[in-house]
Amino acid sequence: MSRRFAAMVLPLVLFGGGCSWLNAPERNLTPPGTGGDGIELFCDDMLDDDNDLAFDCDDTDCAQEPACCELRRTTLSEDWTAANLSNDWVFTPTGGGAWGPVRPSIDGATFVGGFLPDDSPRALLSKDCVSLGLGGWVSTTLRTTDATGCTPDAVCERYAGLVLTVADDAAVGGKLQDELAVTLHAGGLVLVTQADVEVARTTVGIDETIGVEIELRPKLNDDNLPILKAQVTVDSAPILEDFTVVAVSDLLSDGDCTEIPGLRVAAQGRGDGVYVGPLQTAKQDCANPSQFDEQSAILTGSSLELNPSWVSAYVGSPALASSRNSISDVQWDLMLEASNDPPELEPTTHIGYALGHARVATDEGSDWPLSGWTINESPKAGDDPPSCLDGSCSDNRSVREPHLLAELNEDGELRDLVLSFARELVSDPSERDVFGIQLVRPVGSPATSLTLPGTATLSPAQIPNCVSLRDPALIPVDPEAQEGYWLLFTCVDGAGAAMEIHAVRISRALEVVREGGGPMRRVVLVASELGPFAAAGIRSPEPLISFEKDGMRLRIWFLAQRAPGEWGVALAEARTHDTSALAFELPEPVPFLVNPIISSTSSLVRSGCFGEDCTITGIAVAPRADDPSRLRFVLARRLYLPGGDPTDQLIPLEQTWSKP
Amino acid sequence: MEQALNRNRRCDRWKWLTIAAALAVVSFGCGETGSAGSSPAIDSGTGGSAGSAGTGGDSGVNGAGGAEGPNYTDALGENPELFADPLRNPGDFPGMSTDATEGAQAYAEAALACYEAPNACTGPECGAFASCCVKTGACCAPVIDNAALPEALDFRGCGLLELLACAEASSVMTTTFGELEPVLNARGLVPNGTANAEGGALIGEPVNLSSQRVALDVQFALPVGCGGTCLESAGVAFTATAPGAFVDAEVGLLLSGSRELVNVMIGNEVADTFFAGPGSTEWRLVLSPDGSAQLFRDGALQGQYAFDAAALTQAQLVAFGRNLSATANSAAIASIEVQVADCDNPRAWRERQPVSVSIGVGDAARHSFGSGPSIVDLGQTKQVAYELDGALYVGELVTPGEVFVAVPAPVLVPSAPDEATGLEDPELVFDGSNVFLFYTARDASGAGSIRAAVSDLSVAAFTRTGAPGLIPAGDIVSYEAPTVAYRAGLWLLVVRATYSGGATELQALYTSNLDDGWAPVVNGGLEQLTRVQSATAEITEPSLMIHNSAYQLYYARRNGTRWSVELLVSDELVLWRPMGDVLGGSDEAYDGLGARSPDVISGPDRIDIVYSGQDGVAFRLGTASRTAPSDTAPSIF
Repeated sequence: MSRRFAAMVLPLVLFGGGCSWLNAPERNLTPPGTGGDGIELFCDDMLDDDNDLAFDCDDTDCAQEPACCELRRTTLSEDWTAANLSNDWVFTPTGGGAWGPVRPSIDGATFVGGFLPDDSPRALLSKDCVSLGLGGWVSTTLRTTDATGCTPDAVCERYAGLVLTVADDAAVGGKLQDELAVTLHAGGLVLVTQADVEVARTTVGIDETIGVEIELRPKLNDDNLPILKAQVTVDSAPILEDFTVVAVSDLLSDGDCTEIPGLRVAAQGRGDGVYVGPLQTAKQDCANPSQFDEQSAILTGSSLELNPSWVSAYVGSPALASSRNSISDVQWDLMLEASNDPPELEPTTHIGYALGHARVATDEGSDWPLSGWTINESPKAGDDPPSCLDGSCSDNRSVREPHLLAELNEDGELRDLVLSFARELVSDPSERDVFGIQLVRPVGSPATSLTLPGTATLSPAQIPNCVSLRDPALIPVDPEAQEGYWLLFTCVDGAGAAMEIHAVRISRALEVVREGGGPMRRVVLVASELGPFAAAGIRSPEPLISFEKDGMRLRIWFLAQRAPGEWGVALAEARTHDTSALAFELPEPVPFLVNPIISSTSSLVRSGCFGEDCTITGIAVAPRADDPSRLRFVLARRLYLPGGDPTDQLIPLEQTWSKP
Repeated sequence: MEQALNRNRRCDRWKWLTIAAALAVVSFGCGETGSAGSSPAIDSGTGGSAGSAGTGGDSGVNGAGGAEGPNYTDALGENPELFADPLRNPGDFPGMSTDATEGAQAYAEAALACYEAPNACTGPECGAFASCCVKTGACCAPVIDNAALPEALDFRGCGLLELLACAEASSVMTTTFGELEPVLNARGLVPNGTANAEGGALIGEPVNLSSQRVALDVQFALPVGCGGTCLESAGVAFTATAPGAFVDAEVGLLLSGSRELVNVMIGNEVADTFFAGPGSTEWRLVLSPDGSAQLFRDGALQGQYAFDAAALTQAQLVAFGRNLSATANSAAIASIEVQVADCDNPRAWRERQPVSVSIGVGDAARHSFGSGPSIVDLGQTKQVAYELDGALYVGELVTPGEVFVAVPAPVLVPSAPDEATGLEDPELVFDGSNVFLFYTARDASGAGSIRAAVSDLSVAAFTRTGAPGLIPAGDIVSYEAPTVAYRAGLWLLVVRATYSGGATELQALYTSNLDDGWAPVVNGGLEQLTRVQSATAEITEPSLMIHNSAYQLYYARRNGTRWSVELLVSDELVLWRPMGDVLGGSDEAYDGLGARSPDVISGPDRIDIVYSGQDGVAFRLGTASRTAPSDTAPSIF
């Protein structure tokens, strides 16, 4: 969308480390059916969640969800005409001696068959894995030309078919281990098998080309673990539905499946007279929150030229906003927390933190530069140095975990930046590291320092059951934020990892909205309800809300840990047609099917890491002002270099949501 | 398979009747569908006729409960006493030993609670159940000789000795780390780390927290004059990696001088904090192989936390911390006491390795991919049986990774009409005199029945016993995958039964004389727990063992293409407690995707297993073992 067109359409655009409006990079919401006042929240629960008489995938609300997506991107297309099939296919069993298939042309298409000698099964196994973990399709045609000695209702020693497998070979004399296989026997019997055990069957005619398609979709099982379900269609008729193929965690994740796990495909058969036609695989071409485009210009405290006096030991927990400046360049506002002492000392003693602010302008469509950011040598907020281990700065108070909400005018220029951050509240030394939340508007330029108000916007004393409030993030309750905001934050209820993310209503004037004698508060995410990926805690919500004419969509990225220390990035999403209720209630976010979208073992986290201790320290997200179909993320990680010294990086990533 | 347990067995059927009366009042109320009402037919030899459903067998024991499901009241009353330890007597239940009826009542009530769920053993009344020793961190055997860790290290008593000298005086190996050497003073061990790196010392040898329970007692010395801002810390923890700039405290305690707190560290993160209190405060951390860490302060339980015990097979005790300048006022570790005990954690297998079979035949390599392995301990040797091409082979397990087949030929090949499609699932059993080889015989239709052959200790030649086997009858169309345990004159059989509708279940049977055939355990819980209808989620290949006075029944479960080994435990073969997955895919190449066909033997304080590892291409023989105390179950029942 051009900037001029956007300006015509949008009366006001809100961007943020959280917020966007009509030109936001959202999966396209299509108008709901009549009669509904909500949205089809769950697309595979066999319920009509929004009462519009359309269930699950029949509801256009679900069109872009993995459970319903019909958009296909081809990942493999084999017509069996290549002179040398061994470039792309492994002839299995590799230990069983050389063999070569025959490739007859039937009705204008090349088939593969003649799995000879016929003493045992043989297969052409794809060298590369095909991504299916977020859903996909595998299709081919089968044909038997000679039923001699075989009947339509019995297995035959001559057969051919399609196999999905994790195996890279077969045992001599044996079949490939089939996660799912569709096999046509010479007499016309079609068997669907798993581990060579029949799970469905049908019968087809002799000398007829039969279409076969396996459709795979991710779902959650009873333990909230992602699994792949299959529907098998033979000759246009479904013969197997809702069949559990494999746990997503058991899929291959190397080679072509590094980003999206998958399986190998194979044409397998025994003997002659039964053939496999052209073979195609496709992955879902809808949303793919776990796929990122890595960008250059990884930032550090040094590259930003921040003064080592307050950033020498740690930089992390970024916040990001994107806007247009007065000459229509793209302006990036980046905030972060930093310290001159390492956070690893926190279990030992108090460590102080301060906030920094950097800004840069780039040409439309360009990446941001490694250097040349406008900064102030001193912290935006907090002390310099923020931390001292010798007791010389015992009156310093930490400020941490910034979040930026950009409020834009109709040209996409900054009207205001709203900054939220955690603020240490100490009235007694024993209360060190107890935080409340501060909201500030305006933020000003990087050169502008902030003076903290006398009291925090929100303190733990106002929030029962939370001993400390961390990781704040704002979202507006309407497109222009006239009615104010929801303030999301991590509720720390003890010494261990936090288990809940809460939200409190904030007025346009940045004051806490009260309800029944206390802040108007809602529980947004609870770790125990999300699944094993969050079993050991959640924190750092990074919300992004978009308003459309027919509803709103709220996505919340957050950090989740499966086990202590194993932090990954997860995603949950909430949608509703009834945006008027947003001032009073937050819709329930539903976790993405395949969480975490970035695990602690991801190459994004582990690349260049020495030892075991590279960790994610924060994530920020904002839509690009020059291309709202793309989201820019900043992933903060702390990695240990040879010698054990830690360093911190801010890694830019991008993701397209309108057509990932 | 399993070797004999020779103890004098008292015939206490009357006690069961007492229990039955008690349970008539206390209903178990479990189950929806159990055995379909079929009993095995007892074959009077090869080719014998099948019995009829529900009435088969001549032992006078009724068939299972039929469509309404098992009735455990009847189960305990109608079966003979089948305790894994024949010396056990329900009438001796703790506190009720003077009255058999009351003892039985107590047993029944306790059984209700203690078999209710996999984690039901936490109740105080469950301590008497030997099955509760498995996977609970209970019934552990203290490690006394050659303990990897010192029983006590009071650093305050070392005077001016260097740390290593102090450690040597305590017969403990230590390795120091950090920019500065840790120092000893009257307060204890000062780790002497800096702002940039921790200092300290490794203590003793690594322990295996996945199979050992460790009780760690620590006293800290708080820093003096810290003022709330100092960098003074001292900690004691287990780590899995060599200390770098920071110690990865996987599970342990860390004193923060400035905060005057003791942190519970799990996964190198703070899991909880407590006010440090005075230096005399005694902190005790009890780490169990089930992954629970309990913290006690001066004897009072403060909290319980989960940690990743399975990953800490080489857990090194480390004393660590920071002191900007080691002085007489620094934070220090005053003393450490450690108690280590071996426990039965059925997931803590070690030394997993593939098995190579040495046999003088042309295609010897294929034998390493033989299926359905079985192992038996004959005292001087351990023998392994496996099936290949429908015939059964036996060889000696000369090392954990090598089987040597002396005679390059099967010990048993199909020879009868009901063996037309081959022999499978060999099961070796030693009764103290002879070696028995039970197996599945497949007829031309694929239906299985259970047969047996016998050999002397040479295991060179097996002869079919001619004893009644187990052949399908009624609704049951096939029996397969036998596992047999022998103890004190009683043979115990668990076998998979397949019904005409396709459902399968494991069934338990017993006999005191193989010539009399098998009688089913009636109305037990096994059938219900193992009944499967789906062909892609089958349960098969059971392996029954008596260890530490309890039955352990391993079996293979398939989930799609992946196999794993699960475990049920029982005290009396009637009530069973599912313990879940105990052996699955590993990081090894040969069993990276899964494991099936388990067969286990009980040894002194250890359990050995042979199995088939799954790598996605084939199933290969493998072995593993684990530490498991064999004589720590409660002696009074």
